[in-house]
Parts: sequence; structure tokens; C-alpha cells
Amino acid sequence: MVFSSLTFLCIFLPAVLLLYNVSRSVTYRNAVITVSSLVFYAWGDPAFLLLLIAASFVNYILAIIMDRYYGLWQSKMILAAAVVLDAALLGVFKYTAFFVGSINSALGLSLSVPGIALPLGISFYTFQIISYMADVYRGEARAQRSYLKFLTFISMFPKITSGPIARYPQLERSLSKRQVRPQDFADGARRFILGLGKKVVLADCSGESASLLLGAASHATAGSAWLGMIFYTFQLYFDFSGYSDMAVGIGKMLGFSLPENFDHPYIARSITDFWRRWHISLSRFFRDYVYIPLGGNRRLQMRNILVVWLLTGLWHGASWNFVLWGLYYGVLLMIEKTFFKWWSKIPVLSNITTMFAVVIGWTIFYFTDLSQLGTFFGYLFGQGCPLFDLTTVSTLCSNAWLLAACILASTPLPKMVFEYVSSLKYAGAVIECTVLAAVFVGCIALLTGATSTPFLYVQF
Amino acid sequence: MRKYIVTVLFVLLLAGAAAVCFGPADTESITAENREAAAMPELSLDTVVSGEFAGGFDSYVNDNIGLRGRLMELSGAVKSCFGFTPRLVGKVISTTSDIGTGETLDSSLMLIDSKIMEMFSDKPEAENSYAEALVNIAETLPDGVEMYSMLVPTQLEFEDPLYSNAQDSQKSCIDAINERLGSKITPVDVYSALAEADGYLYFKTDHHWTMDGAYCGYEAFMNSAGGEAVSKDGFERKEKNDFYGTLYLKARSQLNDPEPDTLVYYDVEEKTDLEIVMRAEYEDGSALEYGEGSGVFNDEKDDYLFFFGGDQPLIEITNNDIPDGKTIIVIKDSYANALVPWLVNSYGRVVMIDPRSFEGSLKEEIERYEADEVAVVNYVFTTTFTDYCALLNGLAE
Repeated sequence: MVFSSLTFLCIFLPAVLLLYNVSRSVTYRNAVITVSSLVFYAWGDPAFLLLLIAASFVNYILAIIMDRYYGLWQSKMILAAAVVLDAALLGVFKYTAFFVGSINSALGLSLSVPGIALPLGISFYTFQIISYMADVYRGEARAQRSYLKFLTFISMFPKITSGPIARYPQLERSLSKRQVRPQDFADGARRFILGLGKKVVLADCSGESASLLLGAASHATAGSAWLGMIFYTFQLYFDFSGYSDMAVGIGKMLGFSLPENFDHPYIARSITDFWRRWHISLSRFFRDYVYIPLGGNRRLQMRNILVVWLLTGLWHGASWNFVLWGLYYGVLLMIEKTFFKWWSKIPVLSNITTMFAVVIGWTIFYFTDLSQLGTFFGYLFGQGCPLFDLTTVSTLCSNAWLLAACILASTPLPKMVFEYVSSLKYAGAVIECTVLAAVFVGCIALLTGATSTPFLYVQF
Repeated sequence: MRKYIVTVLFVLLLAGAAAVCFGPADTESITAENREAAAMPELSLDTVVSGEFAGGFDSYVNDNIGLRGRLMELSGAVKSCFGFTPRLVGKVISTTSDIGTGETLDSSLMLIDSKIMEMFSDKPEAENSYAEALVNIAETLPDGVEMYSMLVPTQLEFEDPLYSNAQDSQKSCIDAINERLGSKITPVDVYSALAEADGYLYFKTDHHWTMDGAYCGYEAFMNSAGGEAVSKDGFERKEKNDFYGTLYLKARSQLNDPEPDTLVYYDVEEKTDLEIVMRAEYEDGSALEYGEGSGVFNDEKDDYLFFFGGDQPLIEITNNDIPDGKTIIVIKDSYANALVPWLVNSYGRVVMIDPRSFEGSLKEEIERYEADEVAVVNYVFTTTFTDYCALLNGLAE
């Protein structure tokens, strides 16, 4: 199930919130979250529900045993076994076909490529499990003794399919004791509606323009290539950050404080800055569990950067373009850290160059076929195609205000204006409620009669 | 205080959404789309495990939500705020297209004034397969059976070059396919006939041609086949009703107050004694004849389905006024449905076979009807669907 569906908005969410608030018992509330999360997860793809339950159960048991041997060599062995097991789970389901296909291409073999379906949210929940095991091993948290609470943490529907990747110590306390204050619920509701607006209005409508300009049905022109990638750039951001806003919002309404995942990445002044603002929970995962253990800035920094970015690329997808995309950022970061640290001090120019690099990055990210990617880079720089055509002009005109809204919404300005207006005593309440109601009703209208538009990050 | 206001508002919005969802369904908005609303899926272990129930339930909610028509109008209003449409530029929107074969292609529509037109994007590999399929069919024909190929271009091809150049050339595609057909197949030049003609040749909100457009095709066909087309003036021109076609459904959210089409037809049944049999054959060899008493025109339909009630696996039309006339088998997509009402005036029997649903053997049908001619009539977009080409090829087996 996705948040931006009528089933979720009209039936699932009202029902869950209603049932959740029937009792204040934490056990009851955990049970409501867990059962509803399993229904949410299984909706449309029930085959892998058992995998989720089994993976969480095995790690739940391993963590308890590891906790018992805390500080002893046995705990290290158990951690290693758990990480290997979880990585293998991800490897089998996500990368088997990729590796077999790559071996076939490299060695000219014709091994049969297994057609393994990718379980929903597997990249997110395996990373969450690995981080839990590492935190228990390090003593940052005690192993959870209640399987219900552990399953609530792993399967929590706001974050199961697309993150943010929550660290167990952040939520440990809330799993046992939490209350939803009126302010939390109101903040959560506000955050949810604005996130829904980002996804349904800005992301999906930008996505329509991107598909039109980048799809096979359009003639290739340099203008369409750039405009299409710009729309795709906005689609990715509003899709993922809208989802994260909704996840954080629902979390608040249920009494959990989920981590932030975005901080206006498109106003970044450097690639380093961009990755501090984009998919923050994933960057922190790699920083804490890969980069720093490898030596971080102190030992073999360049190697560590390359390893982290190779893994980041692979995490996003089992395809060579994702590997290339990860290495692209790894190399850019090495160059930036070595030669261009001063560049970010130049305003505007540094913003423009960063966004240029980001758009080029999303181009690599978009094309899973490397030959298509090569051809498309040619189009971006006017090779073998005209500058623009009627489709370019028409799409630009008919989405001009949408594009302007996307640019504006990528900055902190709308949030500042909204917060200022909301702070006004009487007019603020009217304006805030009008905006929230208009966004919600507008989203319901846009979703009516539309085909389902799942979140882009669900596939990772 | 504000926290309570926002909380109450959110609860009201969710309650409102639930109320609209469970409220009376807006069946009119579905009827306007010429389809039936999705039904509540069956709840069983099998349907739940396969995911069929969830998918069906989402469709059910989408189709049966209250105020659906109003919400879709609001959706259109929201989208119209995203930009502006310069009068001379028109608007290009993305969509998907399918021809009922299972394959779905990304496609674009061009909206100019009140016309909605599909934009052609050629697929050379599929076009090769199309030509190969026709050549393979020609190889299987008994001696003496003539074969024709008619590929019909669409409306956008004949618009101002400012617009038509935004798509791939349909003419180039048709010419390329015709060049590959070999000597056993005669191409029918319907392109020139349509380019020279004026009038209401294509619907504005539907991807099909009108019966006037189809008459151009009929004349071009008779020119190629060496016959004489009957005059259009000999039949009464009637207007059945206004309607919005299939492209309107895809573009409705982008249109402000679009003009409807008019279903115009020439009453060929009035002057000709026609007898129609519809037949479905199944892979196990069994067959079902149906459609007793049906005619060329289906009065129950208000759109392009008016012609023969839509696509059927096999339709046999006998013209009792030409008892010794020739028999032609037309392998076709829906474009032929407006053409055949003209063709029946020149043949003793016309048999329409739709490869998308026909499961029988073309060879057996040719023998059964002692066909004199075979024509393959499709609109040019059909050549971009690889699975349609595969179905055509299957007829040669």
C-alpha cells in the first residue's frame, strides 16, 4: 500500500488512528501498529510477509543471545553471523540476477538468470536490522526482549517501505512508554498533509512532464533532455521528501519521533553539503557503520570514500548505472575535498555548480541501460538532435508555474512564510487551516481517476 | 489552541475522505467513460495471497468513490493552474496506449483547439515484424487469392507541419513497410486519398476515423483492387448523437470545455440486404455463433462501438444483393469497423477477422469461405505493437 492512494487516505489511515486511540495501553497500541503494519506491508505483495517476520525473528533471537555475551568474543561472532545473514538476504533477493547477468556478460557464459522478485522495502528493513544488531553489539542499546515491540520497530508502516532508516536507540524508549500530546498530533497532521501535497502535486505532476520529455514517445532534443532531467530532479526530491514528511508526520501522530531525512538539499553549495541534506538517514548509516569503522578521515580516507559510495550506489539498485552513480559521487567528493573546499564559500555560483553536478548525477541514476545513458548525454549537449521542438515548448509553457513552484518549494522560503503566517493569532489560524484543507482536498481530487503512482524509492 | 484547531481539522478531513469513499458511488462519471465500474473483488485466501484482492480493492475504491466526477473536475482545474497553453503551440501530454493486446506503450497526445490527437513514434523493429507477418501470411495463401495491405494514417499527420513535425512521420513508416511487402501484396494508398480529402474525416476526441474518412479508404481500396466504389450520395447521411471518444478520457483533465464529436453514419443497411453472423472459435476447436439479428450498426452504442458493436473475433457479412459477388477476408483492427460498411457494397461477402481475439485458423477460414481476396487493414499505430505483430504472424501458422 502507498500513502498516496485513496485506500490509504480514506480507509486505512482513519481506521488505524481510530483503533489506536481506543486505549492508552502501550501493548495495545503496539499491537495495533504491528497488525496494521503487516496488513500495509502485505497489501498487494503478501508473498514476502513471511520473509519479513522470519528475518526479524531470527535477528531478535540473535540479539538476545549477543546481549548475553556482551563484551565477549562470542558477541562479535554472533554479530558477524547476523550481518552475513542479513547481507545474504539482501544479496539473494536484490543482487543475484545482477551478478549472474554480469558474469554472463563478462565471461560470455549463458548461466540462467534467476527471476527473483524484489521484496518490498527489503533494503530499508535489512539496514534497520543491521543497525540494530550493531547498536546492541556496541552497547548503545540493550536487546529488545519483547518480540512484539521488536516487530513494531521493524515493521512500523510509516517507514517500512521507504524509510527513514530509524536507529533503534532513537525509538527504544517510545516502544515501551510513549504519549501523544495534542501538539505532537497537530504537528504530525500538518507535516503529513504538506508531505502529501509534495508527493501528489509536485512530485507526480513533475513526473508526468519528465516521462513525457524523457520517454520514447518524444523526439530527442537538447531542450527536452535538460527540461526532462530538471523535472525528474524535482520529482525525485518531492517524491522522497514528501514520503519522509508523511512518515515523520504519521510517526508523530502515533507517538514516535522518526529521524529527519532531508534538509533542502537543492540549496546545497557543495557535494559534501548536498549529501548532508539528502537521504540523511542513509548517509548516517554508512558514516556510522562503514566509513568510521574503516578509518574515516584519519586513515585511508579516499579508499573509505570510494567504498562507501560504491555501496551507496549498489544499495540504490542492482544495475551498473547505480554503481557508476555511486562512483561518480565518490570521485566528485574526493576532488572536492582535495581541491575545491573553498568553492562553497562563493554564493550562487557554488549553488549552480552543485545543482549541475546533481542533475548530471540523476541522469546517471535514471538510465539503467548504459548505452541509452551515453546517447542521452549526447542529447544533453546537442549531439545528434535539434535544440528544441514543439513538445519542449509546450511542456515548458503548460508547466511553467509548476516548475516555479518546485524551485520555490526546494528552498526554505515557503516554510518560513508558512510559519510566519501561521504565527499570526487569528488570521494565521484561518490561513493555515485553509491551506491544509485545500492541499488535502486537492490531493484527493488528483488521486481520483489517476493511475497509481508508487513512490520511486519503494523500488530500492 | 492552534493545536486543537489543526487536530480537529485533520480529523474532519479524514472523516470527510472516509465519508466520500463510503458514500454513494458516482456512476455517471464511470458511464461517461463508456465502461463499467470495478466491482468489489472476491475475498478468498487465493485472491489475498496472489495480491489480486488488494489490486481489485484499490480499483474498486477508485471507481466507486462518491463525487468522483466533481473530484475529477477539480483535478482538471488544479492541473490547468500549472502553466499556460499558447494558442499557436498547443499542448502535449504524456499518456500510455494499448490496443487490447496486453502491451502498453508510453505515448503522447497533442491537444490543439478541441482536437486530441495521438502522436506517432515509430518502432522500426516492430514495423519489420509487421511487414514480415504480412509476407508470411501471403506465403500461405492459395494461388489466385489476392492480398492487399492498408495502413491508415491518423489526423495529426495532416495538420499544419508545426504540429505534424512533432511526431515521427507516419508516411515514412507506411512507405517503409510497403517497400518490404514484396510482389504478392498490393499496398493500398489510403494516405494520398486522405491527404487530398476535406471534411469531418477523423473524430476530434477519438483516435478513429469517421465514416467519411473511411470512405476515402474504401475508394482507395477499390482503386487498388480494380473495382468501382459505390457513391456516398446514394446513402442517407444520419447523425446519431454527440459523444466524447477514447482520447477524451485520457486528456479530460487537461481540457477546458471541449467540444463533443458527432456520430455521423451513412445508412448502408437501409438499401442493402445484409446478413450478419458473428463467431468465436476456440483453441480446442469448438466454436460459438452469436449476434443473431445484429446489424452493421449497433444502436445501443453511442460512440465508435456503434460500428458492429465493437471488435469481434470474426464477423461474416453477406450481401444478399450480390449473390455471385467476391468474398474478401479482412484481417483488421478497429479502423476497419467503419470501412467495412462501405466494403460490403462491393462484395458478396466480407469476413472480418480480429487477430487480437480470433483463435481459429486463417487457412481454414480461407478454405471455408473460398476467399478471393485478403486485406490487412490497420491504423498505423498498430505497427508499433510487437505483440500485435506476433498475433498477425500467428495467423500465418
